[in-house]
Amino acid sequence: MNTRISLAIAAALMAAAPLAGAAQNLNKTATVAADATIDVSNVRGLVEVTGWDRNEVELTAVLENDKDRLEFEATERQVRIKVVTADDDYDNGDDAMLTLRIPKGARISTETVSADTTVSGVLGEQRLESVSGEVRSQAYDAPVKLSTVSGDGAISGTGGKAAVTVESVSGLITVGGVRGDFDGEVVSGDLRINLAAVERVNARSISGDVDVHAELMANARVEMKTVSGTIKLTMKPPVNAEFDMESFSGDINNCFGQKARDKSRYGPGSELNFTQGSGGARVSINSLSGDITVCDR
Amino acid sequence: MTTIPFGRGPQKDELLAQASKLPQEIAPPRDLWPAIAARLAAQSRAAPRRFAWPAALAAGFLVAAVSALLTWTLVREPDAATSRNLLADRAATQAAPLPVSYGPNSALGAVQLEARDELLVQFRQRLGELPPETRATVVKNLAIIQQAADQIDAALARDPASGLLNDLLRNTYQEELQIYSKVVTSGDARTRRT
Amino acid sequence: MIELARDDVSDEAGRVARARNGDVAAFEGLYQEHVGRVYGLCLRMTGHPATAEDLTQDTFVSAWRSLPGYEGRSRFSTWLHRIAVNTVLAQRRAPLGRHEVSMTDDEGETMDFVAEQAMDDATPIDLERAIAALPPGARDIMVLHGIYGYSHEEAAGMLDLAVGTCKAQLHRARQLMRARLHAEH
Repeated sequence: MNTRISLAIAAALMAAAPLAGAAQNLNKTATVAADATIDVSNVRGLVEVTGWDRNEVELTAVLENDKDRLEFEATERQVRIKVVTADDDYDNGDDAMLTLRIPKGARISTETVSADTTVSGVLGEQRLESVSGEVRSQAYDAPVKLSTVSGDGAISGTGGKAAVTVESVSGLITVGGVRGDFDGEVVSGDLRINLAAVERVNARSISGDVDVHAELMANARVEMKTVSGTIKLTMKPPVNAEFDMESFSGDINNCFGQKARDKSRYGPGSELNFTQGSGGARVSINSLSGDITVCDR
Repeated sequence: MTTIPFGRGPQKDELLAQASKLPQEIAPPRDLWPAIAARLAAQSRAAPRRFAWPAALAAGFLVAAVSALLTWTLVREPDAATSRNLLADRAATQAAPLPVSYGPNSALGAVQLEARDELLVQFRQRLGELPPETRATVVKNLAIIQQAADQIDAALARDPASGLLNDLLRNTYQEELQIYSKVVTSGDARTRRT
Repeated sequence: MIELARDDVSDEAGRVARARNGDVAAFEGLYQEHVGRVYGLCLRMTGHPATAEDLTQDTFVSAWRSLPGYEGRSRFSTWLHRIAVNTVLAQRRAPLGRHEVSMTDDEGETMDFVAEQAMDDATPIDLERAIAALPPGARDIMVLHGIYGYSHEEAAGMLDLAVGTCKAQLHRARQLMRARLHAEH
């Protein structure tokens, strides 16, 4: 059912894209609990979620293909939104644009294939997954988990203590401005992480590069490993940490004046173990062939 | 029967002395050699496949996989949903990536590798349903993992007792499984399965 | 059945050389010679006979593959034990398979296996049980150092731990064992 208001919103949303005559414009609202769980599933297009002060979920959906269907089920505690496309034709290119406003304390979970996802102003727990879409979000204090196959991801925070978990096969994941525990894992994607005062950092890659800037708390535990990517850890001074680093065939570099040595006179591998400052934090970094660099600037 | 003196706990040195007298050899309850011999034989049969998987061939496989997928998208008929599904299945099977093969020095037990089999079945199914570029990315990254497994295995030949290498090996295997399970769960956002 | 040669360095070196060239019969001779020690190690480190059997097999299969890398720098039995330790540790870290290995918890609750494995009446069952009851880190060092006689440095290398950590674990092992054995009397 097209109304003028819907058309205006749709036009504003898709200023660049001509509206196909068969597009569907849909609005849904539901009253929900302040900490309800919202699940959104979309294939192609866009998922845009913003937190607001009302205990309501408001959805505006534009489905380019008139054969696609929108499912919207709402109870007080849970809202489920799903775009069901008529076919699997990835070359067809018909998008579904979902714009949502949800209570800012709600929990959000999104899943897309190639649709891009943007979340902002949501204080509740976030679980954002995509195959190839880009995922962007803001982190506050509640946990955020981001997972993609090839999509890039970006999480920005304003110093909240959200525990952030990211996983990607080949996407570039950027995280900044958070101070909760961080856990990141990539195969060939890269991790670019900027953390405030943190206690736990865990980063793993196969061939992707890992670049972490962090302010380590007194009892921080940092563990990073890679097969062939490079690992770079830059810590805010003063650095008080014990370093335990080993590489089978990569270089271990540092700016603390320490020199890596051979692990054994007879065998391969080099290692570098030392305490900087008064110790306290513990940093463990391992690689097969990737180079390791630790520094305080 | 115990050789520990009654009434008092043993002195520290005495503990170690007693421990050193424990039998170092314990015969296993059954003869393990037949099973070992069978695995050695299976290994030499399987070896040609593993040694035929150097990086160049992995890249060649990727090219073959991508072109098979492109062929599929070109021949599909827009209004024949059934034939498209059949083509999708065929493309998925043609391009079905082999699981990562872990080399002779890599101590991943048979039990752990079996855990992968179940996941692989669903993975191949789902892989065929992904957009072509994503499929290519997945295949490419599995080749990256294969390369990592090969590098670790070569290193293990030189230093089999290395905790570092075994840790990286286990991590690599976990990443392989992660790819499969990501692809499998990505199907949840897909359409026709409500 | 293969007639075992005397446990003689040159005989074993010959066997190893032939096994390296792919002589499975020679490798079987090595298996017969060393399986007791490998199984004994795996059994005491895991506390679970079925798992120990699997890991013993894995160790020999792995050793066969790694033979080209055995350069004779260490004794063959030590090299084999290194592979066994690695195999046990890898299994501990790995996702649990068919044989769920429940390690002793820090309270020292144990599985009663070792009593069944006692070779004869002279075996101090209490001692084996006490070792089996140790938490994994302490048990590893007690097994390698206490039973198998590896030095602190050698054991540390096999377990990929610092020597200091090994000594601390040994100390802990002794304390726990003393407490347990004292309590049982």
